[in-house]
Amino acid sequence: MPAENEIQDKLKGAFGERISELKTTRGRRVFVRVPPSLVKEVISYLKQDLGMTHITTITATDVGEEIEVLYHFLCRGVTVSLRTSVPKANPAIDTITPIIPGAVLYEREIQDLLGLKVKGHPDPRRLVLPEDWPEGVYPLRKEYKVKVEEG
Amino acid sequence: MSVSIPIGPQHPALKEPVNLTVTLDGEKIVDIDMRLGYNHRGIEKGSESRNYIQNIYLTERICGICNVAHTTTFCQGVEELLGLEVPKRGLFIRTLLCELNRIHSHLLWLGVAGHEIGFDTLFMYSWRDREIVMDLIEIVSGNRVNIAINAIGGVRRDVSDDMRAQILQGISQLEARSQYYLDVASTEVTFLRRTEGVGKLPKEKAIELCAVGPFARASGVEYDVRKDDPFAAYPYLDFKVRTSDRCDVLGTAIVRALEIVESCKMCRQVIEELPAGEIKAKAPRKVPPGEVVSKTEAPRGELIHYIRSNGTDRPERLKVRAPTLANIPSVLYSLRGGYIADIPIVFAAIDPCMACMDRVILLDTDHGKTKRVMTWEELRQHGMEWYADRKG
Amino acid sequence: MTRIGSMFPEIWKHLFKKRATVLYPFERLNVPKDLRGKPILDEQKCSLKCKGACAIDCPAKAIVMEKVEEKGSRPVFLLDRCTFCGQCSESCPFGAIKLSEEFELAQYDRKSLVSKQW
Repeated sequence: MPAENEIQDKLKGAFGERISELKTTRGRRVFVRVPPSLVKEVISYLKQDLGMTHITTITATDVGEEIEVLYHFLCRGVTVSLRTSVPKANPAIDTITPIIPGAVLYEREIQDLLGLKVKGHPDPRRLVLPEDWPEGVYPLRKEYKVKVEEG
Repeated sequence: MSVSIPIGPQHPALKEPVNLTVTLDGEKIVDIDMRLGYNHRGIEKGSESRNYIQNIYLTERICGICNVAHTTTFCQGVEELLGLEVPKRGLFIRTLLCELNRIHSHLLWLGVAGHEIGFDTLFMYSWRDREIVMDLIEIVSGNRVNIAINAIGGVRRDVSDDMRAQILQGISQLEARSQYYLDVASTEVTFLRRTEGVGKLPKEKAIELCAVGPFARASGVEYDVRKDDPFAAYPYLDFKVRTSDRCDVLGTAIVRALEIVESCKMCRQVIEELPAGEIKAKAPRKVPPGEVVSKTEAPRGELIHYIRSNGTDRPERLKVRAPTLANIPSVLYSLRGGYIADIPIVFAAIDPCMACMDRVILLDTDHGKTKRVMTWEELRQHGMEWYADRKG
Repeated sequence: MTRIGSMFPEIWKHLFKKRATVLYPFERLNVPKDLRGKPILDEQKCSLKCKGACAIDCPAKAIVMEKVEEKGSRPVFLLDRCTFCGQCSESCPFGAIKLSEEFELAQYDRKSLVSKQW
């Protein structure tokens, strides 16, 4: 059985109705949606039972009223993308660095560019924006319009 | 009593700016911290206001040395969203250029590593051999850097028969030269003294901190996207993933030299087995809504593009994670416990493409507010002299 | 087995070979065929009627369409912005743009880099 189908079945077996939108778009890719409260439990399951060793990156997208966060993991050659949504008015999420220390810079990046508040992060400084960038202005949100100057 | 040293971002000579803060105890590094962002250009935001064709050229300019990897990853992702199948000849030509780009990048690294430890002869000779690869790339694509061979649906230019003959000749020359550099890297005493046992990163830490690329493979982590998640024509090629158990900077040099030899073999396979046929499939301009995760192996490690489309001819979201960002926690770990004279070579070992250090400002908290500013050039000189005095 | 000075035989051999550096601009190298240089417009093939397919796809906004009396519009190339990628040549439905091998285009004045070829 291909690895992605095996991972899909195991996730369905372990979490049942608590996860949704579980799909395999092509070989070695799995997508799944979890509620924000279940994120750490699913990641621990991936690490202990499904052989997850590596986090590739964390993507965050502004989808209007919510901010969608995607965690991309590597489990035995399959890229598992875990999706969760938080409301834009209160974009708080827990850090996953106790489980995966390698995620430390990716969480700083989404905090900096999209305004996500990562609770419990060991080092919540800015990553890419300069120190004198105004507070509360998040460039990757759709409200932020880029000014075009013709040179 | 420990001393804290900020290493500032302005530097006239080398690549890109970064800021390091080093806490020292005598000459040993106790802790090190890094501040990035001086080269942030807003490419992810810029891609939302350009159509997919313009975005190929925008992603190409994320990095000048791994530009083929960025366009390959982007085009591959859009092709998956469109459900387009690229003709086999197009995939083979794409792979040929990916490997030529990898050879070019590793030869460049070899020169830069030689320069960082003061071995300028190696620098000059490896960069002269790099000209062979740049000429081959120019013959196939029309440009030495910013190759722009990829298009959505395949490649833009074909490889003719006399190009094939020239490429095979160039590859044989490169194979002979890379064997020679492998020999120099593993036996030359001046090289070994500066790289052996320096910047140690044990295998468990490399896995825990999610390191990628030749830097992780030098610590024994066998992760290569070309083998674990094959793309382009890699399923049809026969090659080995090179690792080393040394876990130090010498390991990274040996892994890269071995990878040049492997890449030469792969290029030869591609040229000999190049199938006939079309090089590009026709691609529509509007992309149906969907999302895709596209991964490739850039010369520096695993590269990922996440693209989300919304039915128009512009992407909704493009997220790029370049491999150097993944290696930064690991390199900061490997510098702790080392000497300040090792900073240039250990940082060069991850082959930084997005972050490079500049001026070292020595802030002596012990003696008050005296600040001594060293340029990168002075730091290199300091490293060479320090080792010369210490080991005679 | 370690040794010192392993590059000396190599250096000695190269003392008697031709120098690798080319003294440009006093010596010039031959460029390969199909080098991507300055874009050239073929007036006969340009239809005037298309809405500027070349200008829409240019990643550097280096093409501006200029009106030609009442017949339509033709492209004008801004060579200071052009990245010589060749996308205009591929996007043109009539094949009216080709990239030549001319690459020595530097000028002192920005205005002389506006290339109106009609």
